[in-house]
Amino acid sequence: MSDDHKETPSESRALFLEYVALPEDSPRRQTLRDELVTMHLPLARHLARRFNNRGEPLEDLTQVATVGLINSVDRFDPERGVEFLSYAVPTIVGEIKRHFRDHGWAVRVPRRLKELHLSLNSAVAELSQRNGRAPTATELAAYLKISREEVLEGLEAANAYRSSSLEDPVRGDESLPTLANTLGDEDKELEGVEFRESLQPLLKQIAPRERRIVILRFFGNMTQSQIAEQLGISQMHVSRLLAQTLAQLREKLLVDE
Amino acid sequence: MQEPIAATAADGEVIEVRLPAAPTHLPVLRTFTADLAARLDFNLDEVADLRMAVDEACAGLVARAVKTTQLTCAFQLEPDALWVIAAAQTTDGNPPARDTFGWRVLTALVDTVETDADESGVVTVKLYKRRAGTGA
Repeated sequence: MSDDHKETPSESRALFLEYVALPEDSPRRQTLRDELVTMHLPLARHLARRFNNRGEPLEDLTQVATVGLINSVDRFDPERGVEFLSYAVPTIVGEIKRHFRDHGWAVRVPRRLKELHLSLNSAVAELSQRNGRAPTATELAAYLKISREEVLEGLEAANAYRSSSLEDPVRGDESLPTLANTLGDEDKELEGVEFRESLQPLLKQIAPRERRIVILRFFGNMTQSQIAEQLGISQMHVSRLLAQTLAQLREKLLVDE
Repeated sequence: MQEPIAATAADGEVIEVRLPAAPTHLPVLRTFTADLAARLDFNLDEVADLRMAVDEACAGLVARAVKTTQLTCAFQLEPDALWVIAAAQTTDGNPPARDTFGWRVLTALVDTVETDADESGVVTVKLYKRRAGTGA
């Protein structure tokens, strides 16, 4: 399992002990956190690969595994005497499994459509890269040398793919430990937003990456393709996360009213 | 049939969808919106934007709609744009508030948002989205 990551447990343990001993505002903390995350990236990649070929792009799985890894680093307590790996592996795998649960196919979709969905996904990435904006159905048809009807059918399948996640409940407060690290950048985007104050409690309820996407789209005025590029995930993934987050927020707002 | 509908659609053609004003029916409207927008050759960013905007506007209307009434959603096709006009009979008769997150979402997703409310409590939300075209 650990053939491709090279840090020794004692090295990692020493770093963790130093990390947790530092005060919250120490600049050295961020450096150590980055180092700990980077050191264990091969583990995240390794675990992501274990779930490859199950219908989710590997890049997305790696991204999700990395989120799991960051959460592990943030929450791990070396004083308890447990090895980081025995804490991180189940956390990362849990994150990947949740991703499958959140993004898995909602309805039974024929294999042909799943394959069409995958080729659409990569065509969207390729054409977005080339044109600097998302492609249209007509452009996708020309690129993939299939009919527009087939493209539209495939896009419909993409909706079936995500519809289950819209029903999911609002996530818990698992993202809170990393909040302080991400709010700084986002503050810039939120400058000049009139109801900024009232927005903060709402935004704090969503996971850091989802929050970032929401802010970039609705306050930073970036397109989904631009956000996808910045975050290194697919446009379809951004679209899924946005729709899902909006649904969660709306539910939350209705409850609060 | 291979041509985008927009190429043959007469200016101002209207497609209207009516559905019970209840949250359970919104997925149908979302899917319809996305498919129509893709057929009109909006690019996929714009398709996703329209899908979310219609969802946002209609979820807001449905939440305040009088029970057992209908939500109507009219899609008016223009050569390079789409109007979506959603209306429902609401209990309070107030148009959506403009100092909310939901309003921010709507205005970020489409080019123009207009609202209207008549004396009978029918609230209308109009969304206008231009197609960026393929020149860029």
